[in-house]
Amino acid sequence: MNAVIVGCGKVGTELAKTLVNDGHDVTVIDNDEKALEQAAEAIDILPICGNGADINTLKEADLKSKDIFIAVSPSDELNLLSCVIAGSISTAKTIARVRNPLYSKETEFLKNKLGLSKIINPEHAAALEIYKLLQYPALTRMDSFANGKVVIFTVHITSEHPLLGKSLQEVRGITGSNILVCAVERKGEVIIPSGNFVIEDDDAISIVSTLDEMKNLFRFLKVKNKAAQSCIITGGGTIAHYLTDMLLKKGMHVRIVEINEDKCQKLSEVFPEAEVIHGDGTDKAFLMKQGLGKVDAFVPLTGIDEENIITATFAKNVSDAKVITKISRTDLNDVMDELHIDSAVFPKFICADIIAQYVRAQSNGVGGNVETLYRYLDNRIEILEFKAKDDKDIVNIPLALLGVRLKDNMIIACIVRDGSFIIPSGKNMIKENDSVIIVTTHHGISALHGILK
Amino acid sequence: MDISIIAYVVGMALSIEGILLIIPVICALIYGESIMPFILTAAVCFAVAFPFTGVKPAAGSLFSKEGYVATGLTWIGLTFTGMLPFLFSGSIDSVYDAVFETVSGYTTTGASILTDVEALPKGVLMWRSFMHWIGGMGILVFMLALVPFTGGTQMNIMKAESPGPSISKLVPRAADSAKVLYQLYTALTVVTVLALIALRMPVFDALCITFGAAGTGGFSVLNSGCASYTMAQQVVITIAMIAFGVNFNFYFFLFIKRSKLAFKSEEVRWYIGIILASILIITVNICSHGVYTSPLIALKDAAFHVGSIITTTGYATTDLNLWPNLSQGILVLLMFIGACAGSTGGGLKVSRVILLAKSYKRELAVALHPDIVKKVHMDGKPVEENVLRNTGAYLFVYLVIFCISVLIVSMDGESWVTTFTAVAATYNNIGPGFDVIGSMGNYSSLSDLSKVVLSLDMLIGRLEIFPIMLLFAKDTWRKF
Repeated sequence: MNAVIVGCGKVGTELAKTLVNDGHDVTVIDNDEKALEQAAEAIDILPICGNGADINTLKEADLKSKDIFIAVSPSDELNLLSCVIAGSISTAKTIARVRNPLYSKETEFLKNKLGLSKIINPEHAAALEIYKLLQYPALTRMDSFANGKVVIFTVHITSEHPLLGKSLQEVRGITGSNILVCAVERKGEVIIPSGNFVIEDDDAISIVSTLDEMKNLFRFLKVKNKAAQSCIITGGGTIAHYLTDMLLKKGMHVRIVEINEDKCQKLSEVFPEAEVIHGDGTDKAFLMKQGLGKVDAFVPLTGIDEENIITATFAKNVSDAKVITKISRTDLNDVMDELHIDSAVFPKFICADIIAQYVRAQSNGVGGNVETLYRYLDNRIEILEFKAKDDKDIVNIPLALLGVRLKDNMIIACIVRDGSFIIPSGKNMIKENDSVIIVTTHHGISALHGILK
Repeated sequence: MDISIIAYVVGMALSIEGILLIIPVICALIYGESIMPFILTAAVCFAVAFPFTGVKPAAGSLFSKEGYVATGLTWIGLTFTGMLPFLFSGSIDSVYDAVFETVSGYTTTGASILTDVEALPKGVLMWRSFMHWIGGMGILVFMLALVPFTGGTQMNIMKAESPGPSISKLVPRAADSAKVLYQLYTALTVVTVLALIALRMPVFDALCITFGAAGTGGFSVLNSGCASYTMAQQVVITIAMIAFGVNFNFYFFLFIKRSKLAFKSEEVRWYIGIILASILIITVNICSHGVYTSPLIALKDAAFHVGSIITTTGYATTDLNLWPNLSQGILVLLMFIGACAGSTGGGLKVSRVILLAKSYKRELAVALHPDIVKKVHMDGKPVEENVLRNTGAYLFVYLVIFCISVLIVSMDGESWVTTFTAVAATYNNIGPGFDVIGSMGNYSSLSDLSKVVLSLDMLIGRLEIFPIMLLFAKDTWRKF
């Protein structure tokens, strides 16, 4: 497909990289020539210097021949305006990034009135991810499929772990829960395991199951998994805004530390139930005074990554709180693994993932479209959910037969049929309208048919 | 600096050269000549390339430094392998001469040391002309179109090999851009060949002459150059030469039916303007000096040579030494201006001349109003300051290299016209100059030292200085 991206910042660049790797042709528009040059040096894109809402610039980008138009510049208004203009001079699907909480309430209205295909709000998505992790503090990452019925999560194996030295065939019997290990990260390598794979010390295993089965497993592993009841947030930006809203609705105790007094005033206007504290959220003594030692969760959300990382490390040392750190930069994810600070949330990656998922769903593939896409372990594995269509190469074939025709490094992790969850064995088969979840190290699969050799 | 990716690129380019030798092999088979020189050369290409291409380098290791170095080394590698058919077939005895002839071929110069072209085997002649075609658009651009590379770094090769002050892609992917360029190039080539064949030119001549015109090279297959072709054939060659000197973006925009954008190009308009003005002045000049009696023939020859020189092709239909000084002077000026950026031609490039002229105009404005803030515009868009800076620096280095070359070649003791135009004609990739090395003469009488210097000039001129000069810079070879 031909895509145009307006905005060559972190999200725009990350997105361009994703789309180019998925095999699409990408044109990037920005008025910063330097940024474009740097991006074009590393990624195979066509850079065009200009304003994304300028009709001449859009004509220069040959918008008429494009299929998808994505506006991710820093300005919500520019994004909306350029999508409206793009929509009026071409048939491309338009996607705008809109972050302002004020507009976020009118997302549907804006989308319909302005004729956009999609509005994405990565800050809101990041807040949602943090919110989910606060419900299950034992997890470092959790994603859901099939409207939340199926979840995928990661468990770290330590010495004396009950699953240590067990093969995957035994796991289900031992734990008494209906789960499937779909990927293992071992010494920096990603493995898609088979049944006789043996779990070793320091593995990170990714598991697919339902929420109930996950709780079962936690009971067996004796993992404490009580949803957080109180939370300290440092930095009162957009994500903090969305997150506070969600946490308060859940009835949690929220304390926001913000250094800017005006922002504090605003927050306290919007969230009367929250405790808004005016002070420096990077000051250790100050944080201790705010009860960091006893709180259930600590979420640093300031605009500076380094401060977030440092306060997160400090919090890990002085308390048992669940720590979830926001990282804006996209080049730090491999460093994060070595820092051992519970969970990190990357709004830019989330945004790129959402759009990549949308673009793949548009490609109208054979056998069934991509419904959901998550990328794990530095994008080395992709977990995809497809809606199965009537494709005689896929449906109604026992998986024992289908299995030999699958590409290497690919497993069918689970099938969801009429709301029930099936960990597939050789006898099961995919039926029409099933949700099929695939785990693979291949990139860019856009249709269920693509899983076959 | 990542040596592995450079080795890979050079190896791939040599392999492609080995495969392209199939063209002269077919030609030699048709004329019943020995194909051994080409088979042996191909074997050498593959043998040299094999250890280089074995390991696929890591993605994303090709930065602009590696791009320049890989391009410079590739072209030097091509020279030393491309000359083997001349040596193996016994067409040329001296290694210096073979290097000169090969560099002249690949850089689309068309300067020759051969005194009797017609005595060469047809296969060798075909290879000689075909080198023009490969060198015109560039073998690395060809490689980009064929060999999949990962990462967005292919542009660094394209930038290093393609001529012009700022190189842009036509379509989002570099590989697709390279493909589009070669598709346009091939299409224009086929049209020219068919036109010449339709005008009853022998197929062999039609192919060789078209390869020369397409790459803006200028090797001919007859001792008389293009003089013995018919009027109609010469007109077709004129049009072809001028067409290949146009920026290929122009054809791309025409092709995708955005002719408004195509004709917006200031460079193309200046290029056509310069050509028309030159033809007019020269026609009047040669007629009034009584070189020609028929104004029509004068117009045809004026157009042919203006097209031939400004595009840096170097075909000739007559002895230009007989032309009056003004006409010769205009042709020497055209040598320096050269063709459009992004074409197959050489020289300074019309776009650089425009940028320099506009910078000068800006300096005038600054002299009048010292506080004025003024941007230079091109095609209705402001030009980045670093492009202007680069163009100024380019002109300086260009002139320095030119002067040094003239000094070295002048040691041969030839006339000043010979010395000056020899350097101008090789450095700008034209071919023939004036006097001894004029359109009906050749470079065989120069010393070996001069041939080496001129060979280097041709390479430096074709690759626009930096890829070759960087090979000699100490900093290039530092690890860090």
